[in-house]
Amino acid sequence: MTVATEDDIVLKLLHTADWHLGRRFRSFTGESEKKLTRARLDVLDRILLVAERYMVDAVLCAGDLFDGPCPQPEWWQQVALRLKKLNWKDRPVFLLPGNHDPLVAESIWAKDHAFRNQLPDWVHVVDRENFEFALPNNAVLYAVPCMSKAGQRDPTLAIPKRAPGDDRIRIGMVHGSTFDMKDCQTNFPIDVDAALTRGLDYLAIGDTHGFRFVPPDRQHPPTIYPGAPEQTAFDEKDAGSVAVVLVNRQRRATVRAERVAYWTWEEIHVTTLAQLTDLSRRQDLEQRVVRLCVEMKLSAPDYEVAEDLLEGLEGTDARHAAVGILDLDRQGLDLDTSNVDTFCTDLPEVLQSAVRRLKKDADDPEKQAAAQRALFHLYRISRKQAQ
Amino acid sequence: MRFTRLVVESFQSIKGADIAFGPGLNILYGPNDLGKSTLAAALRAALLLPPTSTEAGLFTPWHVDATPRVSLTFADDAGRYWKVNKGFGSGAASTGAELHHSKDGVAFVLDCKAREVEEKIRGMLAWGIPAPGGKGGPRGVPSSFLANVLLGAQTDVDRILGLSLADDPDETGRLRLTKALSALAQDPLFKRVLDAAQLEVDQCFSATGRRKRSSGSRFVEAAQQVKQTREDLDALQALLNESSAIESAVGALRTRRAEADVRNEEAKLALATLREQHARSSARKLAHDKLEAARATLGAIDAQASRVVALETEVDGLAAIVKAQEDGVVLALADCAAAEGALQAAEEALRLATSGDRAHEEELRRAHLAERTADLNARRLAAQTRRTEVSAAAALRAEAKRAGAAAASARTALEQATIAACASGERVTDIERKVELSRAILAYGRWRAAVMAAEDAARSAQAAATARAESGQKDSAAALLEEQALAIDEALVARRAALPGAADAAALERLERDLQLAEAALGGGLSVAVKPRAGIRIHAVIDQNAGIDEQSLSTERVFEAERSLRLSVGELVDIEITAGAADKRRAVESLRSRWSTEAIPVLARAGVTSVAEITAALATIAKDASSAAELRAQASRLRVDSRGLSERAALQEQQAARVVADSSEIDARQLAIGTADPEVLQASLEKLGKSWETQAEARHAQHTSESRTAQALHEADVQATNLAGYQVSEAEQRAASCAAASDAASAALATEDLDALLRTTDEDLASLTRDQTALVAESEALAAEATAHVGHATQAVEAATAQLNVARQAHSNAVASADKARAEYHARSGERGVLRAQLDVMDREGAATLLAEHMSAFDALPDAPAVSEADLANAGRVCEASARALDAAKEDLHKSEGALSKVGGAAVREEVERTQEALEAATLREKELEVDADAWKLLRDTLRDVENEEGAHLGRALAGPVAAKFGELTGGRYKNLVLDAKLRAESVDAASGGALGATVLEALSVGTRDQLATLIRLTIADQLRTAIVLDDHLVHTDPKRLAWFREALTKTALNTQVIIFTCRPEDYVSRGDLPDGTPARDLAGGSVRVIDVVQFVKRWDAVASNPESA
Repeated sequence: MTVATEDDIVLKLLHTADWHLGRRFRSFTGESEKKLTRARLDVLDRILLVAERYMVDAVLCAGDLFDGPCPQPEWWQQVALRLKKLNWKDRPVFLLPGNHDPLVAESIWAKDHAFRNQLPDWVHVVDRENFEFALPNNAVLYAVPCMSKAGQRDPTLAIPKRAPGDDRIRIGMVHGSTFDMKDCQTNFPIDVDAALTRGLDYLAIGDTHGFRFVPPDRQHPPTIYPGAPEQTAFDEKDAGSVAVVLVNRQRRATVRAERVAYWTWEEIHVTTLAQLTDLSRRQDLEQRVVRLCVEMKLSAPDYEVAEDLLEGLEGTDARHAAVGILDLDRQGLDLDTSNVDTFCTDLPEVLQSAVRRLKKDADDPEKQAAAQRALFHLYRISRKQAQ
Repeated sequence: MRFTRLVVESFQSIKGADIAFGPGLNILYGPNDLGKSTLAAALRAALLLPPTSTEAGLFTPWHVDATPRVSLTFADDAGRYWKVNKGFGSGAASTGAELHHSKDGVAFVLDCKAREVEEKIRGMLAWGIPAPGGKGGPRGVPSSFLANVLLGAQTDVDRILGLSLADDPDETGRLRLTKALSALAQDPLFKRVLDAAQLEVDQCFSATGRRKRSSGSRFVEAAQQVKQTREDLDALQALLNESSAIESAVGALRTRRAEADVRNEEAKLALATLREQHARSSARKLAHDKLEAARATLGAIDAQASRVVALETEVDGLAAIVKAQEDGVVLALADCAAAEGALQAAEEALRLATSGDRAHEEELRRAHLAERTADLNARRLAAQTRRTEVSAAAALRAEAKRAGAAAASARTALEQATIAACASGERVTDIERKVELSRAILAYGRWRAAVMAAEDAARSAQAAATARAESGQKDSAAALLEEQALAIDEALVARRAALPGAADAAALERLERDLQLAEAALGGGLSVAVKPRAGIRIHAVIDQNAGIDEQSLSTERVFEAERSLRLSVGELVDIEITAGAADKRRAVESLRSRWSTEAIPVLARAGVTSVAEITAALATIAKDASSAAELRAQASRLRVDSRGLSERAALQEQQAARVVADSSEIDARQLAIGTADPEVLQASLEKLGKSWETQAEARHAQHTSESRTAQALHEADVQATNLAGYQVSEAEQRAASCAAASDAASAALATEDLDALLRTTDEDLASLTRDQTALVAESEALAAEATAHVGHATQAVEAATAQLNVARQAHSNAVASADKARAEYHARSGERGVLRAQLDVMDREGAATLLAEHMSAFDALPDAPAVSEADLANAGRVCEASARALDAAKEDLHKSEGALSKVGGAAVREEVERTQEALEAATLREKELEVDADAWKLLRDTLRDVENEEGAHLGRALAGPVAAKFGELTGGRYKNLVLDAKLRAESVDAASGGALGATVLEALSVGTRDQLATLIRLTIADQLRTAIVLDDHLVHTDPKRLAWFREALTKTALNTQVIIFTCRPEDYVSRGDLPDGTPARDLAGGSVRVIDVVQFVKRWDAVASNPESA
């Protein structure tokens, strides 16, 4: 691939997709869910900043900008508000309906929807199949919206092929799944060679949440998934970026991934108290969404230490959480009841008797979980009360 | 429990006694034999002994015949007053038992009588004594561990050390003690842990041990989260299922479309192949036809040529005949000329003969020879003519034979064509029969289908009507239930409006309980003596309950109360007196204040007087609400059933409506069946199976196609037959014509055997030729003789004249034959000319060339299987059907893809996955909560179990405080007091020395045993907060220990009532504290009452033995 030089650049684009505004993160609770939901909106500011920093000629938003076709007003009002604050008369923004927010009647993209009325005139909604827009420097954008939640037709087929003698920079924008992706054949399938066959110099697509360069051999012209600007799940690789596209005079496009996400998602599995201690000492957890799976069996004193560490990570009413958002799976955290009584010899006989009973209960599979927890509570309270 | 008053009448040595007890320590003193123990016995009898028991006989007064009577007033732990009256004995009207209750201890109401009195008292006491009578019920004076502890007789001072709860008749005593002693077992840390656990449990669980489900409950929140997420997931799952079903359908439809595409392509290919084959076979057939036509043309030309040749032969024959005839004519003419010459010669010879003899003779002989020569020539001419005629006849006969053979051949062809036409006609008939049968099967099947559809429609309509009716019934029932539920709801709204909520009611219960407990904790007893200096109006409120109004009190009046006393002195002052420690009083005040502000308005609003009534009302409301909910649930189920029935009915009605129910159409379909045998049709239809219509249509179409083909073939055969008939007719005419000519020739020759005739004629000609040769020789011979025979000249003239006539006749005949032959010749020659002209026009060479070309063209065409129009039509139909199937598959696929575009596909799947994850997380959180709550509950329960178990070992619980006091009493001389689980004293260790504990216990002095027993009894009474009677205890106790006991008893009396019967009051109070002239004296703020029994008890011996005088 030829890398375009700055002097040679004639067209700069910012390509983003899959904002999923309004998505709920129901696996998380309370404030965590709100943080993640709000993050979809906050990241827009950083996306727009990147666009300004690169002084791009246009911003391409390739679908699934909202999580549904009819989002609550608070979402689209915020989008409109952010766009209205800008004065981008020479920097058009193109909003493409995706399969999550298809262009259907009464959707946010409908021409009589209040959202459309609030958008500045340099923001263009791709609301027809033959959308074509002249970009600066002899460039042209072709875009095809999703008009339903699922479709079997390759949307790029609606883009006209390059006519003989047409030397314009041809940019395409669609939303769907490329043929090389498993189980996506019913979701607006896109030929991996669509850019080549339709005579496009860059094909901006959306749907996959990780940054992906689609043509397997990285041959020109590029077809790019920029991914979701804020990650939405733990299994999404390389999410959190937008694509900055630089096209030179030879119509060669170069793509840079610019990270814009606030949150970094991370799955951590600890099996020892030392690992948990190390984790609690990390300083980079504030902007992380951590799925922490704790799997270890500890003696009562160690269990108490582990609980303290987990409280520090998760936060309490009185302590700030070390982790930005913690999804804690502590099912594998077990109290070693085999020797719990050895740590209670200083307790009154009546409490030791209770420890012995609970230890016996812990051998009963039906009572095991409650008995372990009860033993820990007994251990912890008796220590605190004794103090 | 504490005793407030004991009234005894006619009881053993006591005539009468009326003693009011103080709430704390009561020291009843008096000399020996006064009746103190009798009072104690009366007290025991009042509580425990049934009036009619045998033991009651012991209570009989010693000096009179009167009914012993006891009346004991006591207050229970709840502050309620009870008064039991017993008259011991049987039979007398005054015997029996009565129990009265009172809220204020003043106004009593009868509660129960007779046996119920014992049941109720024993139930209240819970001393391990079951109700009297019945199986297991005690007879006589009941005994139990607690009865001995609390009301032990004088003689059993240290008996308690050997008693055990195990000997109790029932468990009530043990349970009460277990409960009371449990506090003794609590370790402070244990208590804190238990309190912490209880606090957590209280946050999670209701009083009944269920998880709290009120609003704000963490379980409710978690459960709602799970429920909501699950509902969302179910909805999404349903959507996904729909989407998956559509996707699956799309996949299947794609496969179907692909298969249909393949089938369509195959059908098109097959059709194209068939068309090509058909074209090839058509071309080949055309070429063949052309070839045959060319061949026929060439054949026709050749036949024409043959005909021409035959005609030429015939014409040649006729020409020969004509020539022969003409020759014959010439010969006949020559014969005529010869005959005329002979005649002239004969006449000359005659003339000569007449003129000269020899010459004449010679002339005669020459004439004779000439005559013979003329005759021979005539005969030869005739023979030659005949031969010509025979040849012509033979030619005609041969022609007639050929014409006959041609006619026979044409007839054979006609017969074959006729057979073929008949066969094809039969085939047409056969196929038409099949066509009719297949049509009839189809019509029959459609008629049957229509009939069955009509029947199904009728059944569906019937089922729909039934479902509608059932739906209506269920709707009506649901409406009725809903009305009932609504009525209940409306009633509940009114009832709920007046009542507090469950949480408030629970709070009120707790408040009431707390208030009762707090008030009970105050219980130390109050006694206020009012000694007015002038008559005043006093209104007293005792223990918040009863009011006593003294309008003009002028003498001393003692007001007694358990916890509080309010005295209103006229309009001057209100005096509030409250017992108990300051903190407890404040707690009570606080609770009372809360009760006034929180509970009283609620009770007033609810129109009830107690929280229990509110609880009961709430329970009733909850039950009614549950009933209403159940009614609504039933109604909802009925509505659901009704909707299901309605939907089913609508479906069935739609099914019925879709069916053509018009009987005229069924009749029309029946008429369309025709006259075919229905059984045969039914059998045929059954053979076709489920897809009968398709198969029947295909078969009908096939038969129709075959019929058309057979018809076309039949028509071709008929045409061929007609042509053959025409050819036969032509040939026969020709044969007849030839036969007629042949017959005419044969008739003219008068023979049938022309060959023989020809041979004979030839032989005749040869013979005549030989004769002519001989005649010539003879003529030459006779010429010499002619001269000699003049005579004969005349004869010769005559003969020559006759010969001339014959020759002339032969000449005429020959001319006629020649004319006839010439006419025939010209006719045939004309015909030949016409045919030859036609032949010349025919261009045999061109025809041959064309034949050769067609033959090459035909040979050039590859051999192709025969493809009929029917095959082609069938293939066309298959192709059309496959195209239709393809179109249908495309349309279905299009529809499904359209449906898929609406339901969501991938987006829904993603949402389902996310919601599933959310559900798992919510479930996990709920489980975590439950596990944590269960853990706290398990911890609390375990702690309680341990506590109960420790408490259940009553000896261990009690031994501690008793041992501590015993050690204090004895100056640490003893330790390790061991009581068994049933409170039997087992051992006590000496603080020093090696003696075994058991030995020490047994070795204790009487006084020490008495003291230990008293300590145990006091500790138990203290824990039970119930009155204890000590009758002549501590008599063997030294002053030092007595002093200790005094203090201990005073402390104990702060919590519970202690009644001491003693003859040595100084052991408990100083002499100065004894009543001085008064029956009783209250000390220490009323917590100690010293009672001079002497002043309360009237003995029989102090009065006359006559009870009447008493």
